[in-house]
Amino acid sequence: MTIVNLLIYVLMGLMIVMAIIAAETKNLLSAAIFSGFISLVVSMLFVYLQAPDVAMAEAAIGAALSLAIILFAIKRTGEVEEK
Amino acid sequence: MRLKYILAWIFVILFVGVVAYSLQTEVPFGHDLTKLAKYYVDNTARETGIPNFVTAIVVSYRGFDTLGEVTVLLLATLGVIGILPWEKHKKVKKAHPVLLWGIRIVFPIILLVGVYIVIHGHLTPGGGFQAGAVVASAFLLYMVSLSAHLDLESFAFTESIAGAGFALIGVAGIFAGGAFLYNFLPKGNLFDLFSGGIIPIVYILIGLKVSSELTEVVSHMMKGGAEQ
Repeated sequence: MTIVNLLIYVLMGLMIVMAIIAAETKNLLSAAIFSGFISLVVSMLFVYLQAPDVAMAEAAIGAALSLAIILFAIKRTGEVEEK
Repeated sequence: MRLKYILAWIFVILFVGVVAYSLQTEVPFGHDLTKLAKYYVDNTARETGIPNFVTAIVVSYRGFDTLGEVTVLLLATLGVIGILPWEKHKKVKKAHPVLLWGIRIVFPIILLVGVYIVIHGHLTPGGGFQAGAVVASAFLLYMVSLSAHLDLESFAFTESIAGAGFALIGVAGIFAGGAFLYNFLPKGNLFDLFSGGIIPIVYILIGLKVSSELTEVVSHMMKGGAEQ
């Protein structure tokens, strides 16, 4: 196993852990930020997979714009998930 | 509730297993091209006059689909604007000085990167959609700090001019060459900045359109609608 492969495994594991946290946490603010961080890691993986176009779009839309839109929506509705 | 957790874990483990297995097998990149991919690799530079396959496919080979994509984005923007209309003369909170000065330094740099990406869309990775997202994130930062000065009317104007320009260039292709979005301008030399005929022009128009649409979506999500 090369060092690059190891890095890919670490990034993927990080993504899965962050996705579980984002799904399970009751605080919507941290859930939104974790999902934005997942987009950032995905864009790194896209660069490794030689898709710089997709990586650029994912970093700008997934990590910046959609995160901002979700944050504004949370600001309007309330920060804590209710049962 | 219990069952849901067990199912979720089974799904996660299966997914991790599949991904790990496919990484072990080392999918080779750039080998065994399909027939269509081979066609693009062999003929893109000759047929469209630009070296970037992705841009050639998005703007030239599949240009009509791109017009549809841009229309979908326009409809989504109209939906957001319809639900959360902008009200003028709203009170704007003054931003913290650290945020204000940080954004004053960073904003022109991000804008420059976006303009670079869209102008070199036919030569380097990226293009109208990516540059639109980058420019819109720059304006998002601007709105967070200096929102009192942002004039949304000009964004609507830019958006409609760019969209109409894209459609008009397509119609001009019908008269010049007999097909919608026909590349009627001279193609120039490969790898030159001014090359590729209408492709850079169309991509710049797409960049303007996407950036103003995304800026409007974010600004209406941020400030539109009734006061809380």
